Amino acid sequence: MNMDAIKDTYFAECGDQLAELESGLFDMSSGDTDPEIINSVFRAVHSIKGGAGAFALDDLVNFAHVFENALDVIRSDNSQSSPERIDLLLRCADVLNDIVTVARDGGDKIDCEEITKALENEFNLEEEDENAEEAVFDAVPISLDAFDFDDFGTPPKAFQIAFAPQNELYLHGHDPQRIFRELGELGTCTAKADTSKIPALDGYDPKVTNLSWNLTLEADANLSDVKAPFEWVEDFCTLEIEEPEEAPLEGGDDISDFLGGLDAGDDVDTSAFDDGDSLGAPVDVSEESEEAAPSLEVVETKAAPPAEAGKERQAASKPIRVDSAKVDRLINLMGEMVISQSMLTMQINDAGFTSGTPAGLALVELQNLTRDIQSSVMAIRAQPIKPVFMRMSRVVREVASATGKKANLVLEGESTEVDTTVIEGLSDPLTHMIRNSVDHGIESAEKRLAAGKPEVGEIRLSASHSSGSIVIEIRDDGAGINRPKVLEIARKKGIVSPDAKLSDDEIDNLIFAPGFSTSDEITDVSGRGVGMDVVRQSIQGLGGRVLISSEPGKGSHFTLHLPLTLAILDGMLVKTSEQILVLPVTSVIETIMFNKDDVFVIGEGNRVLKLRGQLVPLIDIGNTLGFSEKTTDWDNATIVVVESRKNEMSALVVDSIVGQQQVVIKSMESNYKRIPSIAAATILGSGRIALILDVDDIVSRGAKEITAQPSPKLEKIA
Amino acid sequence: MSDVNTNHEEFIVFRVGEQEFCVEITSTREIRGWTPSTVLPHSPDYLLGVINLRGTILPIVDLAKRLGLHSEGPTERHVVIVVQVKDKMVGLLVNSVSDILEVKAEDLRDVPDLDNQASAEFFGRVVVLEERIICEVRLDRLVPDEVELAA
Amino acid sequence: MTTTVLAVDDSRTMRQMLEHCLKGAGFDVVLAEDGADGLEKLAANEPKVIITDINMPVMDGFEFIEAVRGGDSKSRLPILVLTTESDAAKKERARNAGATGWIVKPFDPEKLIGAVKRVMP
Repeated sequence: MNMDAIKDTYFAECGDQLAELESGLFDMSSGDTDPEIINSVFRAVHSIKGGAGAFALDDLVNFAHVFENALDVIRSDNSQSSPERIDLLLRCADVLNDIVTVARDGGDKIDCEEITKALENEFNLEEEDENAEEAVFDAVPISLDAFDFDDFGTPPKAFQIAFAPQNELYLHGHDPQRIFRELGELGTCTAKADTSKIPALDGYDPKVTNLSWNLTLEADANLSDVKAPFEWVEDFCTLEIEEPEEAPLEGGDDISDFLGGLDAGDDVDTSAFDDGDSLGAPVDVSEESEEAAPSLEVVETKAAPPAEAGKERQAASKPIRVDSAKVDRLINLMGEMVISQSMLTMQINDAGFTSGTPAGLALVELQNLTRDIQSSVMAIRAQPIKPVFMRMSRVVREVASATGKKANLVLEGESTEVDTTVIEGLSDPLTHMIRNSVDHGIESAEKRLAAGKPEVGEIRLSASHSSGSIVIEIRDDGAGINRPKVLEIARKKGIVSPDAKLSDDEIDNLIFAPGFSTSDEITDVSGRGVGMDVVRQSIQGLGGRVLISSEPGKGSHFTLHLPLTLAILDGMLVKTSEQILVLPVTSVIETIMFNKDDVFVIGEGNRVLKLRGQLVPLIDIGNTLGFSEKTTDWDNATIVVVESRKNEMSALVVDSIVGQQQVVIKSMESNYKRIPSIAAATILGSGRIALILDVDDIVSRGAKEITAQPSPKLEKIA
Repeated sequence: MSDVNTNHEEFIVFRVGEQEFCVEITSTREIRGWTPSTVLPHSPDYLLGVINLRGTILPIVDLAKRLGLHSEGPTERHVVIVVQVKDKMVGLLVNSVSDILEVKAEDLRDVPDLDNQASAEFFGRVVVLEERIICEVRLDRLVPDEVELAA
Repeated sequence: MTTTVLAVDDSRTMRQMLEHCLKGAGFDVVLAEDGADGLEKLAANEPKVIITDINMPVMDGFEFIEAVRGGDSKSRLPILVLTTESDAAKKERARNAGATGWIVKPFDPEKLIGAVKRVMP
């Protein structure tokens, strides 16, 4: 292990801490006054600062320090909290995040002077100089009242120390010889044991200490130097120090150095103390300490609280940190198990064992177990979506401040658990959509007031589970989509033909069209070279879909449907052109035998299926995907009617249906790239790979071909 | 990326048609026999499809076709060299693996400026030995761009 | 015979740092993530010195020290408090809980080792 590795750990941990910080502050801003929240927030900043100090990341230390002090104000007294203050703290969290990023990746130094000032003013923090922190440890003079000089003389420039340890001293893990050793580092120290209080052997209690020492220290040191070795034992002994008259009383040396030079003490021969017989032998130590000695604080002894606290907590379940690769492997294996099980099921059924037979019953048992294991394994990967949502609150703040708009982010269902992979992939598209909502959706404060809306816009980000998928919604109460403008742009860019008649819904969806970039409208904020088409692609890459609805003057509403997991799919296996393809069962509406009478041709050879009065595009899937030059043998074909998430239907022509089974989803992108019409791949029981079709993509392509026909005219096929 | 302690680089040498090529051994993950692949739609002709490599989807490049040489197509005698290109793995279909060479730095040259597009595009360095000359295949040029998203 | 140090800190970074520094100085190191974990590790190992953070979730440093001092055979082990806590009250509490001494973070590896040697039996 080297320092770089530790630094990596540090930055990884910073990420966790920053998330914790932001999440905690957000909870506080929603009025949560649980003291554990401010504690965890404080702890986060504190840990960041601690590590930063170790790596001499001064900018980070300095800012974290002020931040921490501000947090401490609220931590000590919750009534000090106010929405304005928390807002400021949230902005500080953003700055801290930026400073961490710069410390990690390099880049321009973050200018945090202004916000530091704001923080100091808001929380009435003293502007600190370099030594301010140390000042806390300034020596508190000990009481000299109890001095008794009778037992020993007072040579000039020599400290006289009467030191009588109490039991407590030993109970705290201290050892007097350590103290003598350190005194020896200051100058010449002579110790004389006072054994007079040690009782006769018959009354001896080994648990009670009776030994005390009288020490003479000849040293060029001030009182605080001499007190320093006693710093940790002050409360557990009777200590009397008489200093030479000319010695100054105040100290206040650099506390952070107070352990310096301790190594030197190792050279000192302290063997005299190791042997009980020689107790009281004078120690003559002449080594000079070059290091500053610590200051001393004197505090009153308090009885130690009972030691039981926290013992029960050990029983509480404790999260463990597991390499995500291990979890991925577990999920892969689980997927393979699902495949094996489906093969076994097939074999057992083929062998004629029905569900009533012992073999059949064992199989059912196995299936139940597999399902339980599957959901348990999936639960390992599931994480609350909260961290991603939290990041969005920063996006809203930043965009609002950059555009001069006022907007509030309201989160709902942030504890909804989502597969880690989905969470990771969600951050970018969500950021863009939120940015968009503030930038394009929410109107300026004046416009809002003029429209009779509250001055501050609201963006509602919610997550929920719905029938096997995750639904994420983004609603804003802004102006809604400017349809005339969107249409105008789309026409200008040739995305739609000038005379095309589009429904409101279709116009709204144009913002997802590739190449649609409302350049005259896009600002620095939303621009960044990414359009909503990329957002849609990212969501699709996660196996999800994005829908939009909008109401002029009332706002826009984006809905993301995401799969609960990216790992497993209920698939229908179909065969076409000697290839086995997989269709998600959820998108299959029905399967029908091909019947010539239901098929019509419109325009240039586009075939449609008339299904209960509705015209559905027919797609020869083997031909469309380029697996075969010739079209399928229609007469013996099977038709699978599928529906996209946008409720558009297509009829896929295949050779036959092979069966249904759960398949493990394998990404094409991990070693190759995304392929049109293909969502992913899977591995069949035979070890061969089968492609999983992207039904939405196929359906939208089919629909496009039909709508592209200028004048639909139905003809019976020959 | 050779061993820092030596001036040697190790290459795995293989045959494609009648010619020999090589790749750095550090890029090589494993060598395996040919198994039938699943064809991908709308893919370039040199991409034979994908196979199952212990649970991951591995694309297979017909190296002969990719380099513009005559391809005999995959047979049972063909061999797949699994190599790592950046963070992805790809299988190279070759006729056979012939050698592992430890090459001194001075025996490595830049590819000569041949009047051949393929050489400029696909070949990195040249291993010059007494009796033979072996071109190093540039792995990063073999597979199509990963960011080529669906239109 | 090498001396074992038990280091308790909730920060991964700090644990790694401590391990790195202490191992570099020839100590054996046992790490724990919080007080409760520290007590378990203490029971299972034979450290000669304990270093602990204060501000930790689950069981903080104060509770941990009190628990150690309230135990049996290992109740007198030297315990160094490792914390960036700068206010005197914290230290007082740590001492009252039974801490032997403290080290102010960020620590210099030499000072850390010096402090450990300072209290080592």
